[in-house]
Amino acid sequence: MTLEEAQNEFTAAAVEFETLIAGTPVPASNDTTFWSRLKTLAMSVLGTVAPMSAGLTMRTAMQAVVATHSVIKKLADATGNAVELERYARVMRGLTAEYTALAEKVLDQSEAKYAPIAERFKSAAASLKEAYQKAEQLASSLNLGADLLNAFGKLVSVL
Amino acid sequence: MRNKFPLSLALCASVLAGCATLPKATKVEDFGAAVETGAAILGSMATTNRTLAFTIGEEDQANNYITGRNFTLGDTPDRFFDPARINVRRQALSALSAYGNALKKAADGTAIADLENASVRLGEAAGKIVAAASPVSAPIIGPAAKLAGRGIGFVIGNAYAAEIQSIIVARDPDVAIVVDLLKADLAVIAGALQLQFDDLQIQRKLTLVNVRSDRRVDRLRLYAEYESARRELDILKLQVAAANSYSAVLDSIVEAHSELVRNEPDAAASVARLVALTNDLSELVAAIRKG
Repeated sequence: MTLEEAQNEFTAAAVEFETLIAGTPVPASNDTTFWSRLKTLAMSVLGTVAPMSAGLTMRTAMQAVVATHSVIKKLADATGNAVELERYARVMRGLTAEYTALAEKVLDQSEAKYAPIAERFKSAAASLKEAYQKAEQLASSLNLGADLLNAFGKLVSVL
Repeated sequence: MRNKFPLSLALCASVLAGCATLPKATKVEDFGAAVETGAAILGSMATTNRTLAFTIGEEDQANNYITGRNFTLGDTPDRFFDPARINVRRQALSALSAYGNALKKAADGTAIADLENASVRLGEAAGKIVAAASPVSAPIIGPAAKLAGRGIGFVIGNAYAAEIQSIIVARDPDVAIVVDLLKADLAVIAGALQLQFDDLQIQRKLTLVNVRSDRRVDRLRLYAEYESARRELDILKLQVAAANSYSAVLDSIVEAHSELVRNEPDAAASVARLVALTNDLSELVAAIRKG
């Protein structure tokens, strides 16, 4: 994946996150504090990360997701309100899914590097087996030669 | 003649000096064990990732159920890593493991012992023929031929050990590369496990809060639910923590292979060769004395 594609991925992730926050139903009555906190948090994270997006890599995008997740976890730890908790949980799980998607892209980048190395190990294993078989074969031939000479020696001593 | 023993020993030492030896069996086993542990960690990470994804989904459905919403008894897992991506890493570790197994067989010392013994047998057999053909010089021909056979056996054994060692040395950079790749990739996967664990913790907390909101549930039941949640999370927490030990495990693969590359001389094998050679020389010297 090119840097440009990575940036596009991150932008898409940021938009998705923003949509997720915006799409969360507006609280009915008593949790306006929660809503404003979450919105402020989301805006602050996006506001911090957005100016850096030109230089962002997949890994820094993942770090941003982890940082956001960590802050929301702290908010979730601090409340015992079911409505707040449910929304925090939903956002956290959305972020984890986003992290996994980004992580899979990172794994894809290194995937091609494994095949040639694995091939070289397979080839080394084959060479080791071949060397061992050749050594055993040579030992067997030497033993056969010794048997033949012993038999011949008996014949010579009789003569 | 008395001076020939120290001379013979010097000869033995010079023959044995610079001998190529196979890596010690224990070191080959250490390498194999480190690779197996690496594969187990990767497998454990994939399993924990999947387990957490399914457990979070199940907890979500349980919440739907206890709060009077629609729910399903089917699986609704959160996103987890595509198994194909895990398999690529698993295959690399399998190739490393196959290499370790081939190394174990090639380096067990049987091949070299077989070669040396067969060479000595051939030397002895040749000596008998020559002795039978020329009875006059018979007393020294047998020991001399045996000594020559052992010398040839050592040379062949050395060539075999050198070939095995050259394969080990050639693969050392690849071991370092594959371990670096795995460390970077496993760090990414481990990050997801921690996020998933946090998600489950909050999801479980939500369940407990919803259960507590029912005033008919007494404190003893609430306490039991809390303890049950803690125990369930503790098990998963241990799995996540175990997965995070990947770095040390992967480092031990590199370290174990470096030990094979260094291949410090096996003192026991060298002494055994020296003893065999000395015995042959003693036989030869005794035969010469008789002659």
